Amino acid sequence: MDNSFDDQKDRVQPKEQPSGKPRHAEQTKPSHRHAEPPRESRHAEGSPYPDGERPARDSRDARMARHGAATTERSATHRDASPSHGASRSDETMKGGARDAASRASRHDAKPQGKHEAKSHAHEGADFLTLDVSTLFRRQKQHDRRNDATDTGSFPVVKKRSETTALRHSAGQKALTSLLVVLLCMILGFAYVTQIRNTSENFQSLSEDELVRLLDETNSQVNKLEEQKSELQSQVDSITNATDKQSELNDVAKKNATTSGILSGRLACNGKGIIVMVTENQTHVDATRLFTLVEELRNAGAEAITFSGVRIVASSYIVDTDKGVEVDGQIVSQPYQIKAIGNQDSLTSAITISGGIGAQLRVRYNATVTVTSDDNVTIDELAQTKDYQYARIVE
Amino acid sequence: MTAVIGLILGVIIGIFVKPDIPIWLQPYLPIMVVAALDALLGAARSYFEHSFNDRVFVVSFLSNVVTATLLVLLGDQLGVGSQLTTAVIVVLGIRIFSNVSAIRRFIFRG
Repeated sequence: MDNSFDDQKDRVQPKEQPSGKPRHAEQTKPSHRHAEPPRESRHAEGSPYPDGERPARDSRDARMARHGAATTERSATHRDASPSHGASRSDETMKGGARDAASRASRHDAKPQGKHEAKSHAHEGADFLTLDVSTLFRRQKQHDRRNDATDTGSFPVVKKRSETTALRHSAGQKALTSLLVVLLCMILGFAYVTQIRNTSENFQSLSEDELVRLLDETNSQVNKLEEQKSELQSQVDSITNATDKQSELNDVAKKNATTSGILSGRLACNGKGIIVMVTENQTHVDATRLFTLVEELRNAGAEAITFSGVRIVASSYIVDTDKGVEVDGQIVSQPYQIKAIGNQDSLTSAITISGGIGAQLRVRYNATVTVTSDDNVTIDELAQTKDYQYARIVE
Repeated sequence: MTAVIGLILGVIIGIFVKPDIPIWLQPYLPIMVVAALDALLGAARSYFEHSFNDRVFVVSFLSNVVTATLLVLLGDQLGVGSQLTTAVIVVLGIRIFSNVSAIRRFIFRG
């Protein structure tokens, strides 16, 4: 990623170092290059260095080559304590820590240049003598810093390009990059604000747990509301039932009232029925015969009956008096007109059946009996209401 | 300076233009923002260290954002999206903190 920023920090270090004292990895490399220029290309290709380390350094190689002699001397100085070449190498490898890959490579490459190494050994003693204490001190310090390095070597270390490359940018490129910087920062600010707005608006950014919790809450709310709903529904049902019952009762009562009204002669009514005319010829017709006539009509299913303008109800009576036939306290004269509402066929046959009341009246009393069917018999005579003295309504 | 101007401009545009984020981008936008913030703070630090390079900044900004997004995308595809998001956020958070502390050392000399 942008380890380059870490490197920008690292870059400060080389600045502090005195020039001509490059880092450890560079120490041996130039010497070998100095000795064997043709090997360099091969080395660069099959580089054992961590990625990027070597190519970045390559730009300096030319410069470093110039310091070849000096650096070889210095590397020799490092080894001066140990008489054996191999021992000093391994010692250095251990110390090298992070750079061990580099040193391994250099060791490998250094083998063919034994002649050169030997030459540098010759310089060694003189160099050690000529160096003053402060230089040695500084070198030691540098060495210590290298040993204390915390770099594990597992992360690629990308070297920043030298200042010269950066300076090579033209003015146009600079403007372009600064424009890009502005653009990128703009995008960042834009995305930031957008994200803020987005987060506060919807559930997309909520975590799974939060969503589950929200869902649970909603579910429990739904359940509560369902309970309330069913409760209210049952209330509505009971009220509706009660209302229904009430109206039903009302209907029944009304029907009953109508039925009993018709039966008791309280209501006028009309419908299909028959009209019977009984006309006496000299012979008086007994009231009992007339009552039989009415009873025959009742048996045939007559729903409402009037006898010469008097409504016949359950308590009606027909008697002979001196003044004539009396029905429910009213004197009626002949011809007697009896109107009955009911099934016309039944009623007609009840009167005209052979040996029936019609034949008796005709044969015994020589009366004229006519039966006419009428589709609209109107009975508007009402029975007088009766005051019940003993009967009481049961509540 | 250009960065600050750009930032302010972006915020203003974001406030006035109310964009509709496509759904596929929604899980990645916060990561992108944090990654970009890290790059910005790294740039600020290098600026204080007098080693700021706008080109490096541009590249690091883009690579930061892309890498973070790709990591989260990978996590989503492997079924560890939320964990990997947390990991990325933690790493970026650590980097942001270290960058801020470096900047602080430069500003307050300690």
